[in-house]
Amino acid sequence: MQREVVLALLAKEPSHGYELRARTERALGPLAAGFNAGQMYVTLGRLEQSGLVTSTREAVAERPERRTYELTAAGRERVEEWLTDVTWPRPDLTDFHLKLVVAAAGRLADPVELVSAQRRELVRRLRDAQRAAMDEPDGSDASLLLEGVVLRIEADLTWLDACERVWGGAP
Amino acid sequence: MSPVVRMIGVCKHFGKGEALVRAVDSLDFEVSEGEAVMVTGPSGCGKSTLLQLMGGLDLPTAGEVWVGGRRIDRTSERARARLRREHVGFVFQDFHLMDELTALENVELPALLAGTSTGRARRRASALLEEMGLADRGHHRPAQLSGGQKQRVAIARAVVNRPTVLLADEPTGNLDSVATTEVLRLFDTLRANGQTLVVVTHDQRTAATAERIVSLRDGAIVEDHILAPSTVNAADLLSGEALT
Amino acid sequence: MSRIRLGARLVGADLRRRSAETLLLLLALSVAATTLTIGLVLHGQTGAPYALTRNRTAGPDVVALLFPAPGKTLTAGDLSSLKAEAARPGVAASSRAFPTTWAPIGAHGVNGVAQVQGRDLAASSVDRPEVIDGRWVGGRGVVVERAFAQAMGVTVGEMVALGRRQVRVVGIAVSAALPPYPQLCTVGCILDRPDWFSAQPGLVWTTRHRAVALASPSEPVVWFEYLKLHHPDAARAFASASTSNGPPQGRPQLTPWQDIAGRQAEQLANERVAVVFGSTLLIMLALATLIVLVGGRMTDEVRRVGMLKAAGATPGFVTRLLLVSYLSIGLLGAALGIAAGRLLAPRLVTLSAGLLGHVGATTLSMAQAFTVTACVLAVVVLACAVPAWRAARTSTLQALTDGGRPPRRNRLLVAVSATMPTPALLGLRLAGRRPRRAVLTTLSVAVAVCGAVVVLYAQASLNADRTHAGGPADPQAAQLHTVTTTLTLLLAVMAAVNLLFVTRANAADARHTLAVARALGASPAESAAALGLAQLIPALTGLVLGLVTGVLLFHTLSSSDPVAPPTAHLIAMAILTVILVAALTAGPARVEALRPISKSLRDTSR
Repeated sequence: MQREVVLALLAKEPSHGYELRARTERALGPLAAGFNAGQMYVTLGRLEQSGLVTSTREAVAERPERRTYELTAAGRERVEEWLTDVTWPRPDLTDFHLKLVVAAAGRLADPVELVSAQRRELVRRLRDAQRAAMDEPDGSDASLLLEGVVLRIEADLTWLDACERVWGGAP
Repeated sequence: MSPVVRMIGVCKHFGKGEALVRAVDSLDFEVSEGEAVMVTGPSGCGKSTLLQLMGGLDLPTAGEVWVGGRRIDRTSERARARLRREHVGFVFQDFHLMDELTALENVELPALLAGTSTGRARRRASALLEEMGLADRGHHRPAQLSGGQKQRVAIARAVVNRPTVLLADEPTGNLDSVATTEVLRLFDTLRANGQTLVVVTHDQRTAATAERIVSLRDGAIVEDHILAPSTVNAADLLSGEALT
Repeated sequence: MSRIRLGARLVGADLRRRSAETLLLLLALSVAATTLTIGLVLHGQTGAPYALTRNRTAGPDVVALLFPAPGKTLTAGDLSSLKAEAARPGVAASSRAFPTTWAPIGAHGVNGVAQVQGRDLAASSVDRPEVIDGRWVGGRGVVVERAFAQAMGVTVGEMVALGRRQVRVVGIAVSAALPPYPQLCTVGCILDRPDWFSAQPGLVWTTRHRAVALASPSEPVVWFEYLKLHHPDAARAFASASTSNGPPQGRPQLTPWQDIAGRQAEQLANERVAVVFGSTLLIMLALATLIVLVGGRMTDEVRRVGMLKAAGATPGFVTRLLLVSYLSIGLLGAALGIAAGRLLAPRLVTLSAGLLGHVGATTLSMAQAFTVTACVLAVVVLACAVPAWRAARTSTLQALTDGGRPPRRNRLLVAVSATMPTPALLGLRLAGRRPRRAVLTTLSVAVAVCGAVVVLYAQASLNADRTHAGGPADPQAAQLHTVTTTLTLLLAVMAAVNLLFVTRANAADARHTLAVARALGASPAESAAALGLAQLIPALTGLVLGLVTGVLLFHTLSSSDPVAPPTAHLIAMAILTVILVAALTAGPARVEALRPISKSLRDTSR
């Protein structure tokens, strides 16, 4: 979980840790299964140490104490920086590309076979993502995320088709 | 269990001499009852031709085509019309709904063509539209429906005579992702009710939802594999994705 | 300038691409223009030939005819009343009184009645019949009026039976004094023999004493006297001044030349009415053809227009382009029609042989040519205006992606057809998709059938007038018969062309529906039957409509009691229409039903 996401979640108003957790899980939908709930509190603790967040404790009768987290000025500044940041995760195709080159050069394996196996795997993932999308109710936040996942896998599959054409076309 | 669709050594050639195109070449293929098969491949691989041969819209140059236990490649156009009426439902990329008829009238048309009484055809069509979530769209004309709605009407029309097999040619080819998802959900429901499905598509995500994927290249099957039952693992989906 | 060149090139390319349709359209417009031209030529003819004949033969202004009282014969003293007429003020010249009677005449097995007029050898001052062949009366032999000679089939030198004797025909002549055969009797006849009841006599000139010798108690001698007035225009007043005082008891009956001219013109007028009526129907059919054609082309045209507009053409440019391409066909059609009309008019419409002169092509004035052209162009504009306007208005994107009008929906038809077997179910819905085209089919069949019914009625009336069996041929009836038959044939051809267009347009339009229906399980035979039915329903409606309208129209138009044609003829015509429609429809329907479904679906994908 990126620290800036947690900071941004606090930008609107001070919140309890469990509220932040619920909102994140809603946005992720079925993908929230991979999200460790405890991670949220660890991240909040680190943010507090860095002085980006402050917390106040409030006592509730016969319950564990609850903390309300709030952004500091530095935290606010950090959120603004993050919002204007345009860095993008790079899809890493280098590994697979090199795998094909090396396998072909060393006659270690048939590159076309490698592509097919990889495609089967990606198709399985695509099916899982698409099925997850089909299970989402219309208009949920998570379906947009799943759409993104599906599109990326489709892009990878299209690239695999290109790989197959090139490696399969060589005599 | 006897296969619903069976093709033995089927060839379909167009043109002659230099210009000869082997759209389908010595192809063997079977579909079992209740199976959902996706046929994929690049455009021009012969997948649409394959579907047309299966539905008796076209005749093979050589080989045998069996549908519902009947050999259809030697029968008259009239007999194939009856076969389509009773055993085959078609869904097209372009919907091919009749513009002047309402959704409901489009759905009941095949039932009327098959000689079902007006009342029964109407009831069955209404029930199907309701199943497809289009109960309030029954009296709309195709022009007033979205792409996804049109295709759902077309699917309802294709299954109104309870066909042995539903054949769909690029059913999501003209749809956006939301409508595609709607249609795929519908296929799932049909599949759960035991409907045999053969879908031709070049859309990866449509293909991925089937349990069996047949890949076609140059009129021949290059791959025919059954996907292992999946357990949705969200963490797996996210691996290597935007979130860390 | 470059835009005009571009337009011309586009129009030319378009017309070439659809040469078959263009030719058929040209044919339709030309035929309509041809008949219209003939109609107008006839219109200009009515007065001229009589005037010419009158001038050349010193035709009288007033014809005086003195009858004997019933059962009596006229004496020399009775002739004084004729002399009194010749002495009236205003009379410039007069002929002698000519004794005239009626006698049977026969030649080549044809038996007719001759009105025999006794004449002098010397030329009369008023009425000098122009001898076309042979010589004038004198000594032996008789001279026969030309129209009557043709009807009897006699020529100079032949023998004819006149009364109880054989006489030689020594001459053939033309006169303006009396209406030629078969309208001679309109001035006055005594035909008391029972077998002459419906006979039409023809004029024969002979010597005075021979004419008097032919008289009998039932056909006594009457006397004709021809008068020339100072003021020919006053003839009518001159004649009525005498007869308005009661019946001409003992006094002669006077007929002004205008009445005789009117009789002369009557035949031409009949033909003109027939041709004008026919050309009106033909123009209506041409309009229907055009509307169908333009409408049928719109699907394609709109897409083409869309392309042009996408390339930057303005809506005005596009509208003009569409109009110009059809107007150029219209202009060519009008030109061809006028040329054909000028060529055909003298052949199709020969004047009565009783008059001098002939129908000349040169009589088509510039104004008339202009009228024909304007009519044809108006038809084109009428048919094109709406589609052209719509095409220009269609948004570019819509034109590119869609093309054509969306089909109509007829709720009642859809609901009713749901209970019917497949061909009727599909057929009714197909017919309901294009109501305007169905109406056009109905109308064009109705127009053709209506024309045919009127022709059948007209011919039945003509036949009824000619019940004098074995008598000489009636040239007027034969002429009218030819004209009406030709018009019927033209109507049938045009209606067939129309149907062919509609059928083709409908077949193309139904392609998608039928392909889908067949994919859903309709057999080829059912599809073909459906398409056939979709045509047959409006066509049969048109048949009924045409029959009813035709009968009503004839009853309204004809002045006298109309004679109904034999029911068998009407039934035969109806059956013929059904067969024709079925034959024209079956072909395209069969072709359409046998097209590969996958190909049809691909072609009609939007």
